[in-house]
Parts: sequence; structure tokens; C-alpha cells
Amino acid sequence: MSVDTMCRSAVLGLVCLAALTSCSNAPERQVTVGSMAKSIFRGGDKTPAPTAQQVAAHAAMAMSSTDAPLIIVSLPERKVVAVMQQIELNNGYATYGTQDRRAITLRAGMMTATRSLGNDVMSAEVSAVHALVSGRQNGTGRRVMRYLDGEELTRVEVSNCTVQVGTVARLQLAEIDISATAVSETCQGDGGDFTNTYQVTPDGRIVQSRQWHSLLNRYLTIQSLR
Amino acid sequence: MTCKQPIAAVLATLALAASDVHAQAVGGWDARELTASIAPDPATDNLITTQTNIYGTPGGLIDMPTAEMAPDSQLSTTVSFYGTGNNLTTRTTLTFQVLPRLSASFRYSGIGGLAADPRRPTFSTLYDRSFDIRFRLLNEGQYLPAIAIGFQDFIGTGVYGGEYLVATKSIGKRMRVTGGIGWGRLGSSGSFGSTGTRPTSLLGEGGIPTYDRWFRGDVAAFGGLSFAATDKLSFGIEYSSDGYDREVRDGALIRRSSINLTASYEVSEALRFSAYSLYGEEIGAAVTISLNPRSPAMKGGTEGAPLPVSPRDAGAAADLGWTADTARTISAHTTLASLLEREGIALHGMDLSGRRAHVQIRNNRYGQRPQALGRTARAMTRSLPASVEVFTITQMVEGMPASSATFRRSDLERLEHAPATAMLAATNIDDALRYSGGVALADDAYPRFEYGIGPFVRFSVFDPDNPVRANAGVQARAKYHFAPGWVAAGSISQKVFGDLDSVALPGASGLPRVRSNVALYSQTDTPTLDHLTVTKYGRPAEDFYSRFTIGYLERMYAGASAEVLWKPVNSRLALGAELNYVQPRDFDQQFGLRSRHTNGGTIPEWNGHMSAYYDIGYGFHGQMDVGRYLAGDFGATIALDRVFANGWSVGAYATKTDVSSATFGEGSFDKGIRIEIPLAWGIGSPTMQKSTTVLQSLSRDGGARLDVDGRLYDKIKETHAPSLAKTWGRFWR
Repeated sequence: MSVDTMCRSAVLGLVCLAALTSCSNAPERQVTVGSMAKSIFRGGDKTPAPTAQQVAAHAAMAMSSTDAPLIIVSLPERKVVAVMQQIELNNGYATYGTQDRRAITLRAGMMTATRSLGNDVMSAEVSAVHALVSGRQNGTGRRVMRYLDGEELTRVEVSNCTVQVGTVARLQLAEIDISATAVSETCQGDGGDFTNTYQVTPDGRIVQSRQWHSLLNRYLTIQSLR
Repeated sequence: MTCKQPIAAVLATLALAASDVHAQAVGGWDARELTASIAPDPATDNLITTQTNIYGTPGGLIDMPTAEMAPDSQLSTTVSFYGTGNNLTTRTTLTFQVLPRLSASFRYSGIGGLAADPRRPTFSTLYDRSFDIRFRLLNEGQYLPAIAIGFQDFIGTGVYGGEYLVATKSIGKRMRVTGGIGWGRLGSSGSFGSTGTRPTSLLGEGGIPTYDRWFRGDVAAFGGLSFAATDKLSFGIEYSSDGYDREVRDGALIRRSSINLTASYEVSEALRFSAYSLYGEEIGAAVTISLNPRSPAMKGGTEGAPLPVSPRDAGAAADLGWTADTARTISAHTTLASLLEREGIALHGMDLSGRRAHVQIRNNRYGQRPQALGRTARAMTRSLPASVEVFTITQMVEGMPASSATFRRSDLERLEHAPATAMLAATNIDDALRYSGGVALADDAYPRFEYGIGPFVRFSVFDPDNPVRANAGVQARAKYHFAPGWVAAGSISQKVFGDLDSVALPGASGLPRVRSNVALYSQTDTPTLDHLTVTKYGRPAEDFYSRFTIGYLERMYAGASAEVLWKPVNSRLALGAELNYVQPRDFDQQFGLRSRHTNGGTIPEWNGHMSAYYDIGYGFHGQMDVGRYLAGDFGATIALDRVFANGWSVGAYATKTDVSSATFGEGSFDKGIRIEIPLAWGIGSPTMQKSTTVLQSLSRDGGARLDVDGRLYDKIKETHAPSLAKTWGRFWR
């Protein structure tokens, strides 16, 4: 637990003691000492990263239980790995979710939104860079990512990105076995500098990628399993 | 304050909205509202510090001020002390960065070792409240320093009173040099001139600005240097122009030198420790706790993801076959209710037809109401037959339909992954009365019974004799919503321990004792009835809201209270009127009443107010109440709050009535500071619970108001268009 959260807990502890130790059936008063403590102690995120075997087992199980598109998402910064299943497809935007209500939305493999990962991307505008990446063309394009700031206002971060096509290599991922082109997207803008990398199939599909998420989570890696 | 919108951001966000011009016209949103949920460009840091000095104001020196400012909206509490034994002096200072260039501080000091003035009551420690403000006239430039003007302890007795003009310039990234001139305390050592004579007599009964003293009397120069050795550790040295005349005269401090030193260590953004060497004789220390409304536990929150919009298959919308099938209607209702329940939203009522659906919801979870609308809308796409194209969601508050949001299902499908402002442009917010017909209430809409039991703490702070007093005990509460708009509510407390009963009764004034005998209400050791009321909330007409409450209204008064509020759903302005009939309750707070006759006069039966509320914009909210107060005095209360989209609010209020300062007593008139912290900010997941802290003058009889529960404006404000527009970024969260 960091000192920050300690202070936060001390201050909140003082101001909300009465509110928190109560028990109530009132539907709008369900914050209790328990939920508070959980939030305060969550800080460190000390859960160990799942081993490769655990992830493989989880993926195999998911693949045998559904025909839906599946991805493996990892947040190296937070040492989290999850297998996510596509739960909805709207207008080209595919939303993948987990049992514990975390979600990520991809547009043809490019992340455009997340929910419940912390410092979530609320929406993104990636069509210009997506055209370059999936077409495996060098060029520059604009990318817009939107977040909620500390006040709950929408913070719009605009970047200018340069797409560069790299080498072609054989790529094997679960049911995928294909030759893929490495493409990089280097961005500079309001949210700082970052570089996304993609493995793109001959038909323009992104099957593996490392994409900038946010200052909190930094990069996500996403792999298609189908 | 710079509030320009980032041009790129607005363009990017409105790119999509531009294609919805027709929807904009329908929704009636103007450009300001459409972009209200977009964060302005962050101000560039200009001589910012998170450090505070021994007076708890922003700055890297010790006793002397600087032209530095805290980060915008920073709220810091500094507890500092120096001296030992009888000479121990503590200062507890709350400082708020009201605007990027304006900081305000409230301080409660316990000054040791001073002798009382002749003809004033004696004390061992002088407890004193003081206010400071500092305004930066000029930001730092490449060659020019930042320049600020400040008033220290500028209201009341002015023990710490002083004014100053100060300039600070950074040299490189780590060093800052400060020089300034001061009056009052800050002109009391090494003065080089004077500007007139500084009066020492008190204006009124204290509590009013000491304008007669400002920038008068001796002037002296002060200066200092601060140096950040690392990002965490910094040092400061200053030449002080404060002579500590009274402390030295009374033997509370020996002033051997004018040089003070400090070392300060920032443990984290929220916590800092500082140590001081003062006047070559004393040492001091301080701890600073800083909160910033813009630094929540988790940006964007940690609550679970919403279910995505379920788009309809092409052509599915034409199928109206289900309308004849009751089973499908019932199943749509059941599915929707259960989807909403897991989001913390109750389905209150529904009106479902072939092309339209109207649902009434009770939002029990989301402080940012658009999130409740967004989650409800998505649940509707997942539960209602495909032919239903128009969705209307009405937020119910205490049984009153408070506002209705209407949008097309095809817009939800189309704009799910667009900027939230595009959906706002496609949303129509209306008075909910326009939709009230035809709704079938859910089975569990009425009656509903809620109860709770928990500890309570009641504080009295900043008493002249004792900094903090409190009562603590157990409180049980219940609410019974027995019919639309009807609420029976009650609360019982049992004090377990506490010392509020020893709060001194102020001497007799010319007013009936309407509040000043608060101690008598804290003496009882038997259970007390905090309130027991029946309330009817209603919507008499479009734009109007009403409340009628009868019973034991609060700890000290029973009676009846009637309120009407005019608040069009799109308006930033609201007007209200409240009329109360009261009878004082027995001190034991059971069912009895006592006589209205007190030794200061008779408590009037009638009081009431006209109120105006205005969302000023730029993060400020104002309120004015004019009327007759509890003691029969006529006057007005003005309140100004800085409000944040996440629910934080920091503000101040003052009440002046036709009671003279002398009759009112210490402080001259009633004033206070209020801070509201949404618990969601602290825990990272949504809840409507808030913590409200009010720091006010002592309970006096002038300018006192009835403390009735359920006032309308706060109940409905967040459901109306201006607030929805500001927090709309959460619609798709």
C-alpha cells in the first residue's frame, strides 16, 4: 500500500467513518468498510502473473467451449493476462469481454476502447492509421484517443502517427498459421510518445499487436486465437 | 482563469456531431453544452508548488509568503507547531487553490504564551481563527518574476494580520528567489518607512474584514531562497520581517535573529513533512496532507464494463408481431429489470408500445447520472423487441419524475463507439411530466422500506475554549416509501460518549435563543428522536417541483415545511420558495415541545426564504437565499462553490441579517466553509454517497435556518440538462 493510498484512506476514514461502518438495506448506501478497504488495499496489485501454462490451459478451454472469436490480452505493466471472448459486434467494432466484466473493443484489430482496465480508453478515432496499417503502407495519419480525466471530463488526446512497414515472417498462434508483415506506428502528441506494433496478414487482418493504452497501463498486447 | 477549449479536441469531437445537425436542433443543445464534458487544455505550470509554509499557505519559505501557487484546485491541510510547554503554538490551516491564480486559507491557531489584553478574558492558549487570501497579479515570464498580493488574517482580530506584495523568480529548475515588502506583522521588524498609522481597535465584534488597517503602518522588506535538492527534498532560507512583537513582549519567543531555515520532504503527492528553525531559537515542524479533486483513486473508475449495445439485424425492426403477445412483453420487462438490477438501477415503471418504450428508473449507484442513462439504454437494446425505435428514460427522484432523456435506438447503435458528445447531440432532455401517462409501475415500486444502523459523530470545532468537541453514538434510520411521492422517515440516536454538553452557553443577546443553546440538546443520555417526518414530493406543473414535510423536522424544531421549486430542465437558473412553521422541541428530543419563550425573546412560529440558484459555469455555482430566519431576523445568505464534474464541491457562504454585530456576538455574522467529497472519488467505483463537511462559526442565533431534510434543488439538479451535459463523458462508461 502506497503512502498515497494510506493518506487517502486516513482522510476518507475520518470524513466517512460514520457512513462506512453502517449497515443498511438502502440500495444507494452500499459502500461499506469492506468495499472501502478492498479499494484501498488493491493499490499494489500483487497478484502473480499467470504462467504460460496457465494461460495456454485457459485458452484451450475457451477454444473448446465456444466458436466465438477469442483473443489473449495482456497488460505487462500490471502483470495481467486474460483470454477474452467476442461478446458483440456492432458496425465493425468487436467487443470482447471477460467473466469479471472487463472489456476491450477492437476495430479490425485496433483497440478503440476498453472498460474496467483502469484509465480506460473511452473511444478512439483510428481510421486513418488503420488504413495504412492494414494496407501495409508507409505514411502518416492522425489518431485521437479519449479518456476520462480525474474530474470525469473527457480528455481528448490527438497524436500524429507515422506508419512504417517492416519484414514479413511466418506467424503461428493457436489456430492461426500464416505469413505476417510487421508494421509499426510511431505517435507523438498530447498523450506523449508511443509506438504500436502490429503483425498483419496478407488480407489486412491484425493478428498480433502491442498497442498503447494509457499512462497507467502503458501497453496492451493482443493476440488473436482464431 | 483560462477556459479556452482545445481547438483540436473540439474539432475532433464535433467531427461526428456535425452530421447530426438536425439532432442538435431537436435536442436544443448549444455549443457550450455540447462541449461541457470536454476537459479544457491543462494550464501550463507557472511557479507551482505543493509545499506549504508554517502558515499552511503555498510556498517554499517559512514564515514569509512567496508568489508561488498550489496546483489548481489543490486542497491542503497543514498542521504546524513550534515552541514547547506553555509556549507551544499550533496552526492548522486549510488552503484551497480556488483558481490557478487565487488561493484562500482558513486557519485555526492555538497560540501559547500570550498575555490577555486588559479587560479581555484570560486564557492559557489563545485560540484564534484567521483567513488569508493571495492573488497572483502577474505570472512568471522569462525575465520577469511572478508577482502576488496577499492579505494574511484579514478578517477579525488580526492577530496574524499583515499585507504584502511579493515577487518570486525561478533560477533554473531547482532554485526560487523571493523578495517582497510587508505591512502589519510583515512590517514589524526592520521597517524602512511607513504609510500612515495602523489602527489597532476591533471593527464590530470581529469577523469582518479589517479594511481600516490594510497597507497602513510600518513597511519592511523580506526575502528568501528555496532550493529543491532532489524531487522530494527541498530547503529554504529566509530573512523575516515579522518582529513577533507580542510574543517577544509576553516572553513566548526569543527572537535572536531574523533568519529562518526549513527542510521539507515530500513522501508522496499527498503527504509532506517539514522542519523549521525559527529566529535562531525555536524549532518547529509541520505535516501537510494534500488532496486534489482531480486526482481520484482511479481515473475513469474501476467498476465492471457495461454490456455493449446489441445492434438489431437489418429488417428486424419491421416485425411488430410481438405486440399481440403478452408473454413477450412480460419477458422484455423481466429481462430489462434483471439487467438493470446488476447495474444498481431499479426499473420503476414502463410503458412499452410497438415503436416506443418509456422506462422510469431509480438510479441507486451513479453520481454521474449520464452513466445511469447509458447503462439503461444499453440494457434496453438487449431486452426490448427490435421494432422499438424510440427510447425514453425518466429518472425518478423521491417518486418525482425529474427529467426524461429520449434518443433513437438507431443512434445508440450508430454512436456507441463515437465520442460521447455525438450521443449527447442526439439526445433530447425534456421535462419528465410530458411523458408521465401510460406508465405501469413495477410491482416493487411501492411500498419500499429502507433502514440502516450505524455510528454517528457530531462535532463542534473551533470553539474559543476548546478546539474540538464531539458526541458519538449509535443511530438507526428508516425510510418508508409507501405511495408515489410519499416518504415516511425517522431516525433515532443514542449517545454513547461525548462532551458537546459542555459547550458554553453564550451570554444573553437581544435575540430569542434559536440555536445558541445547542449544548442543552447534547446533555441527554436517553435515546433521541433526530427526526420523524412524513413528506410528500410532487410535480404540480411542468418546471415545478414541490415538497411538504410535517413532523419532527430536526433536532430542535418540529412543525411543517413547504417548498416549491421552479427549475426548467434546460435552465441553469432555479428559483425556490420555502415556508416553515416551527415549534421548539424539548431538550431531551423525545416527543415533547417546549415553550417558544426564551430569555432572549420569543421564537417566531413562521420563517422562510426565497432562493435563487445559478450554475454560473466555469466550475462555479452560486446561491442566494433571502428571507426571515429562525430568530425572526430578516436578511440574506450568499454562497459560492467551486464544483467539479466528479461531484467535489468546495465553497463558502455568509449570512447577514438585520441583527447588529453587537447583538450577533463574536464573529459579527454567520459564515462558513463547506466541502463535499463524493465517496466514489475515494474508492474508484461509483456510489451516490457523499461526505459533507461544514466548518462554520459557533452556533449563534442570528442568521440561523431550519435544518429540514429533502430540499428540492439538491435532489433534482444532477438530473437536469446542464449537469448531464457536464458529466456526459460517462454515458458510455
